[in-house]
Amino acid sequence: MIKKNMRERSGYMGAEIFCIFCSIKKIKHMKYLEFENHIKNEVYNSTAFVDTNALIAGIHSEKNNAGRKKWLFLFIMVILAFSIPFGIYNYNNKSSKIIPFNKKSEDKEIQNKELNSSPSVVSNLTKKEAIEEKPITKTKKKALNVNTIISNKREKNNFINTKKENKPTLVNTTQISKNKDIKAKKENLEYTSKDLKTRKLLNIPDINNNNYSLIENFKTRKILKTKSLWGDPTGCYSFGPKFRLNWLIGVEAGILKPFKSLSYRSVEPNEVFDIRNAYEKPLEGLQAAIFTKLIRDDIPLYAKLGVSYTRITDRLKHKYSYIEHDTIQGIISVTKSENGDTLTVIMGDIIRDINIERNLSQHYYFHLIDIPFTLGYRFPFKNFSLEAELGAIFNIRTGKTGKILSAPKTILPVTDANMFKNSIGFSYFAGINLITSVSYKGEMFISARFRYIPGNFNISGNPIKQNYSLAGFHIGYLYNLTKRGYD
Amino acid sequence: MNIDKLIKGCKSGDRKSQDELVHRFAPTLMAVCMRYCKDENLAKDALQESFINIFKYIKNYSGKGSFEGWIRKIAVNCSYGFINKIRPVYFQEDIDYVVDLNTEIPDIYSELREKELLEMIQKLPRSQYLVFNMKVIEGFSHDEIADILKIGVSTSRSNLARARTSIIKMIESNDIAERMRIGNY
Repeated sequence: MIKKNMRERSGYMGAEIFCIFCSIKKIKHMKYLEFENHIKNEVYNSTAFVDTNALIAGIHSEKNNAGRKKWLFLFIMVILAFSIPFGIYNYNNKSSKIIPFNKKSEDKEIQNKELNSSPSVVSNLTKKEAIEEKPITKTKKKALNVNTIISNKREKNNFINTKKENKPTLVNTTQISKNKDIKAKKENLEYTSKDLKTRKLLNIPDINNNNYSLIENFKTRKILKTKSLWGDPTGCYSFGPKFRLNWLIGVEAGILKPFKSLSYRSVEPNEVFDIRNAYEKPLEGLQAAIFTKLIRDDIPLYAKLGVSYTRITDRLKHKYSYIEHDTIQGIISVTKSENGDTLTVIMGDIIRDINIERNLSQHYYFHLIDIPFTLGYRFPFKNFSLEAELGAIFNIRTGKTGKILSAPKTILPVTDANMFKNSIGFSYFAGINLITSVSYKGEMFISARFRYIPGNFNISGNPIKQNYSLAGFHIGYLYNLTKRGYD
Repeated sequence: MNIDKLIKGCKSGDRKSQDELVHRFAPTLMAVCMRYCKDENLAKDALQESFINIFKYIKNYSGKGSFEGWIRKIAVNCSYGFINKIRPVYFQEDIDYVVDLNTEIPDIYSELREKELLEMIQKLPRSQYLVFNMKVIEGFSHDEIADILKIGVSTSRSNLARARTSIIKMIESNDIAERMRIGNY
């Protein structure tokens, strides 16, 4: 009321000044330090919403990722470190085969003369002629002791002796009279009827025959080649059942290259699809499996069944930008005279908007648990085998981890984004394997494989469709459970 | 779970204790990271990194001082690391910059809430904003600030003084406008 009357009296401007004066008088003040304390009290205990479950998953996956690659690399290095030298060692040992005695036939005379008179002679056999004899049966071993032929590798001393004297010498034998020789041989060389039958089948001469001369027949005796598909490293014939079904178990691990295709089934533009199509790339795929294999000795066909785990990695590398307000100190006013001389320069705050670009790098993973079934054909060669196979894979489960772009500037955990199926169904593969024996029962293999997944990974309601095919190399080990030690 | 048991569990690598720690302190640390990073995605990355470092270095926590203060320092360190990587912060050296902390400002500013206060201080230049946040809000000493920002203690002091001066100027310029507005009734 008073103010109204005053305004009417003094006019507009005066009233304004008076009102400002009144308002100034009413304003209470505080110290700046109190204001700072108020800022601290208000802001210090503030909270912000965060998805703690996703955060926990992210923290633990980050920790696991750090160790995972190291372990995988170590695993592959260990397999290679053991398999390569082992393979080389076994390959070298295979090459030092039994040398057939009939190769060196120059010393027929010596054998006929010397050995007929004294069966236990190691004579003028030179280093070249001496061979290592491997008995076929236990009883055969005894026979060899009677007519000993010494290996040049093992018993050099005897050669030295023979060399010097150039005479026939007796080594590790007992003197047996001429008439008693054959009898002694008979005692030592009695075969069972089964063995005899087998020997007949295999066309091995019957050394129980009195007229049979061991030495004569050593010349022509052949090393029997294996008829098995296994390429037995010892070169010995297998006396087991002819058509045995072999049961093997194997493990393998491999690195794959995923081939990805992304398609969009809608007319409306989709920024997320554009970004993902441009910047999302598949990285490596990893696979490990354990399986069982059945193969017959006589038929080179085989079947495999197992369980495998495959992981496919995808990465989005994308730049996005946001505006940040920044204040800098600068010249906000310059006063110049008429002459152009600078009179005053006023510095102050200049607020500017800065466009900040940020590189976003997010990974997500598919974890496939599959049951693969395979049919294949083996081509056996001298030191290795080649296999060609085809198969079908049934996917039990497709797990997802990591983060994916769900909106143009929103990254969500894959499980929350609700974009992918829990199972991708059937897929198919073809492969070629190169196998070599590393021990009597063990084999190592390297394989090249291609897997085609016809179904897409996305749920039916999602307009973005994501497909993969995989190609890669595997290494593995097979162990024959049915092969016996004396085969 | 009691905080001491929580810390003990985290030191021994107990997963449950770690998860409980995240549930308890993530909202607070997210607010800290948001204040420094200003971008939500960047703040989330900084928060994740902060917790990884907390679990990594919790064995070094001796129990002296507040645990919350310790983890806040880690969060501030991680956040600064992220923003500095994107756009390096440059600190201006000023010698003998003095501000009168007893300057009077209108009492009405005590009614401003968190959002308005943050809007005000975010207008500060980056270097001053960082130092102001760490000193006034987090309560770090100038030595700690110098250690985090890799600057000298005097640089920290001068940037804080400049920040305070800027805020006072902001208030004064707002105040004049406000006074003018009040007159129109």
